[in-house]
Amino acid sequence: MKRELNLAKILTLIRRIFIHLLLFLGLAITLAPFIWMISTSLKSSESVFTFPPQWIPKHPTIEQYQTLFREVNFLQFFKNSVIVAFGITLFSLFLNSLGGFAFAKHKFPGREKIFALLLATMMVPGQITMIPVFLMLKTVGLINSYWGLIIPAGASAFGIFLMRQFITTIPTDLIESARIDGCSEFRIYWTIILPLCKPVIAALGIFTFMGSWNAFLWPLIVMIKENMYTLPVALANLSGQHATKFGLLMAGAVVVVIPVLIVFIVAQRYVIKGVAVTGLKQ
Amino acid sequence: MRNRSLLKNFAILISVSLLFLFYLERKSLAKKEEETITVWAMGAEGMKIAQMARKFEQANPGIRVITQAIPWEAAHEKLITSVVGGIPPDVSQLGTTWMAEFQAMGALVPLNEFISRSEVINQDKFFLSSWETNLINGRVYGIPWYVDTRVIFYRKDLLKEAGFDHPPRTWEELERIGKALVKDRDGDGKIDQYGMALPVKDWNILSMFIWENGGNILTPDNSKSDVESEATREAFEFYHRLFQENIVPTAEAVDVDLFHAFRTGFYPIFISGPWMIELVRNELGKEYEGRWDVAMMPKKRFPTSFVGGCNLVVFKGSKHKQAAWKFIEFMSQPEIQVEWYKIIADLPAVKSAWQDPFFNDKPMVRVFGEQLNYTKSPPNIPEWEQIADAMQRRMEELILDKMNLFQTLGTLTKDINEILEKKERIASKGKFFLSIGAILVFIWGLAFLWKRYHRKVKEIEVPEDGRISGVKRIISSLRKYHVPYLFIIPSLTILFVFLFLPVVVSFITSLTDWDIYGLANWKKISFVGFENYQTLLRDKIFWKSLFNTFYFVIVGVPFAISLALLMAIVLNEEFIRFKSFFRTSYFAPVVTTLVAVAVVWRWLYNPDYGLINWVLQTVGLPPQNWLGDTKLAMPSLIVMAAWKNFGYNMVIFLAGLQAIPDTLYDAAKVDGASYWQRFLYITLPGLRPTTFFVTVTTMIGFFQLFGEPYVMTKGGPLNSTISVVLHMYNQGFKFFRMGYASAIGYILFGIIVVFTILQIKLQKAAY
Repeated sequence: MKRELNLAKILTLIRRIFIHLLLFLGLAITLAPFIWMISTSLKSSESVFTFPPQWIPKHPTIEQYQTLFREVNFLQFFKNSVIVAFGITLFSLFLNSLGGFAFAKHKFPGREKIFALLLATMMVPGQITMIPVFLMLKTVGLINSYWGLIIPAGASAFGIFLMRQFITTIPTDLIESARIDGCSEFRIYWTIILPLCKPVIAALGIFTFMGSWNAFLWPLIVMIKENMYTLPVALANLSGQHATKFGLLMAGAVVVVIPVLIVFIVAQRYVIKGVAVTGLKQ
Repeated sequence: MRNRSLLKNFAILISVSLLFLFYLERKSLAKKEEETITVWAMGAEGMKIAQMARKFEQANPGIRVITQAIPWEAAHEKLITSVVGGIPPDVSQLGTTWMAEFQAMGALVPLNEFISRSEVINQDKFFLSSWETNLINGRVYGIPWYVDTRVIFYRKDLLKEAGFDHPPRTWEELERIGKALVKDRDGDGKIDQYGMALPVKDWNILSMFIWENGGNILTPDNSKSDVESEATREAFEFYHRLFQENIVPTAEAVDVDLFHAFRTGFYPIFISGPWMIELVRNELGKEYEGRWDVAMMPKKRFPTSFVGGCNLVVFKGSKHKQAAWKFIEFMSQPEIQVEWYKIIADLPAVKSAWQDPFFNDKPMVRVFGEQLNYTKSPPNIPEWEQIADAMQRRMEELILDKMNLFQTLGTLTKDINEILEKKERIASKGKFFLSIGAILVFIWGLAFLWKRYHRKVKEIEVPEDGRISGVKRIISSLRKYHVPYLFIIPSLTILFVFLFLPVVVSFITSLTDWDIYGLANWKKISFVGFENYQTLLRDKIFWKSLFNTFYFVIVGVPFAISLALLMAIVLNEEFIRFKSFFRTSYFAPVVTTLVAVAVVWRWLYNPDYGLINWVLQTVGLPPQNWLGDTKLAMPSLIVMAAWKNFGYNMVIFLAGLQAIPDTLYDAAKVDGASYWQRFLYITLPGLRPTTFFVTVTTMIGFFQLFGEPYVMTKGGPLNSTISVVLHMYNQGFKFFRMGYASAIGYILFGIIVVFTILQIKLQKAAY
């Protein structure tokens, strides 16, 4: 009896060691590319090509970053990315929460049908809309402008859905009493609904921000002139032009990645919870 | 009162945000309001043009010139996108053979008015044939910048040895001298000195022979093939005869180094351009100085050569046309043209520049100047590239004796006429009605789907005024419920315009031949029925891209999902500490920008200095050329995609695992079930809905593969990583074949829908 117990204990121990091994192997594989990216970005152009690789640069330098901002104009691309990502986030949060409020707390003819139709748009894939939207934007002259990126992303069925779900849980009495006090509907939205929606706005805002910061295909199509490129487009372009200047490319990658990683680390709880919830819904 | 403040708030909020964004945009544009022109130049010219721009600025204070060097490989694409986007440069260099295409796009400004007022530029100052490359439908769309032509390079000493003290001046002499030159010097039974080198497939050189005999490729109005005319036929025959008589070899031509062949006498004669003078001089060295020379093309009726080079054009989008024209005038001055020659050795397009004493001691260059008076250029039509391609194909077949002369000219005539008539052939009335019918069926289908779908939707009860009906009812309900309508209208409009409408428009587009010319002029678009879909079936690259995409999905999805499941199970163990740290770390790649990840992984995969090969080598495995090997490239992308995506699915799996009640496990433990049994009979079945969700979303995402190959391989090597979306992007936004790209998009959409439905069916069947 005792012996069996010991065997079981040993087995458990082996299993635990094995699992920890997996855990740390996974950690190494996930983080190595990031560390290597940062390490390479701090090397001079010559010392990038050393074999075997140096994890910690012997003579760290910021010359790659200097080139990036002085010669490649990354500051402009950074600005473009900030404008676009914030523009999309603010614009879409506003429209989606407004729509969500109407669907949650107002009664009007056709409400359910319109909402159902709205949900149907979630199934429309990007590659179908790409060409017509490009043609439309071209017709109205929005190609190569911030608006060309912001307006089409200004509303999303998913966002409206999420907002509606949340606002439905807000007690209607609160709204009714405000109405009796003579509050306008917009004021109710602005002073009552929005403050109560903070958690969902935070989650949706973070997702929208990360999505638009990372977006590539659509900015690649819309932003034609180099001074309008967003960071991912600029980085892809840099990678095409200087295919072997890995120090410079890694510095570019760091600049692109750092803001979104910071947002993620600060708000990781929202992000991971948000993802877990979308999975459970289905 | 309530309503007014609502509207007011709306107005303020929207206008403030609009103003803010406009301000940001204006601010970035404000700098450009000075008189600044942008000039694009390609390749070597691009590198040097800044020197001339500075000179121009000195001569024209108040105008600033921004020059941009565009590599030749990217030039065509960059020019087209800039034109389509409506933001072209003010002035650009444009190859003579691109003129017609850009004119047809409506991209170029006709310069006739500028010319009529100009003192520097008029037709007589330029070589006529070079000027004509700018002439389309009677208007001038560009001004020659520099020219390029072909002459004969020959070995004086070898010709003398064969008994000729002059270069071939006529076709007869060319043939006679050629025959006399052919020798087997070392007597091994193999010829080691031929008569001359001629390309097996090169429309340029063949055209010169056609023109020399007074022949043409197209009829004067460019509407039909003229290759069966006597003069053209004779030229084909003569060109072919030089091969038949073994004066020119066919097989070796490809793998011989031209300089080596010229030195050893393997090719005592060849035809080439001005840049060859310097190259031959350097390669052959002093010892051969005086033993070779250049001469004008031999004549049949005329000693005609080909004229190429580049023109300077002004783009329609330019806001500084006057300044742009000044720049072109500046570049057309004879002194400047000579100076430009000194910088880069581009032959002057202005005739008087050749009188400059600088050329006095350059007899070889002067031969080119002489030759320029007898030159021609190919027809100025956008279809020329296709015709040239057909010509080269047939020419090769003739020379390699796969067809006789009669057949060659017959099929070539058919090819050319088909290319020229293609537009009319495709856009027939039948196709038009077929397309309209298809669109109607499509819209009916959508309506049908919606009807079936919305029947399930239960409308809420809204108090309604029962007595009124129709339009009045709608108006009254709008009045009554205007607040919620106002709230949903902005987002609904956006979704309608950018999601609903495109589904229909995209289908309609896929039934048209909407291309780059259609973008410039709507009248050039016509319905072609299912032509695009038929072309797609014959498009080898499309099939390849489809294969690659399926490869990526079928191998990648299970791989990425099992990885996610494995890590979720590991992380779900109770005894693990710092769970959230691990979870956050594993999730980090998910939020990281794909482009950045792709760039970093390109570095990791680097065959010589990459981290991955270093790891392989340290454990004693051979390094691999990950992205450069057709067999490894796609698996490499899959590994990277799995690395980037597994964290997302892992989090969903974790949530799924936690939703499985502990009591089930406890009960199983009591029953003595082992770890594996619990995993197989509790965990896996419990995760089924999660697995289904994860599979469908991952699959949809993987089907849309684009960023990885775009950044890492551009679809290569040998198209081994080109994906459907990448192919669609290339067709749609590189070549602007809107109709064709839409068809690709629809096919992909169809595939995704089918696979999703299949998954749902499987899921249902499993329960």
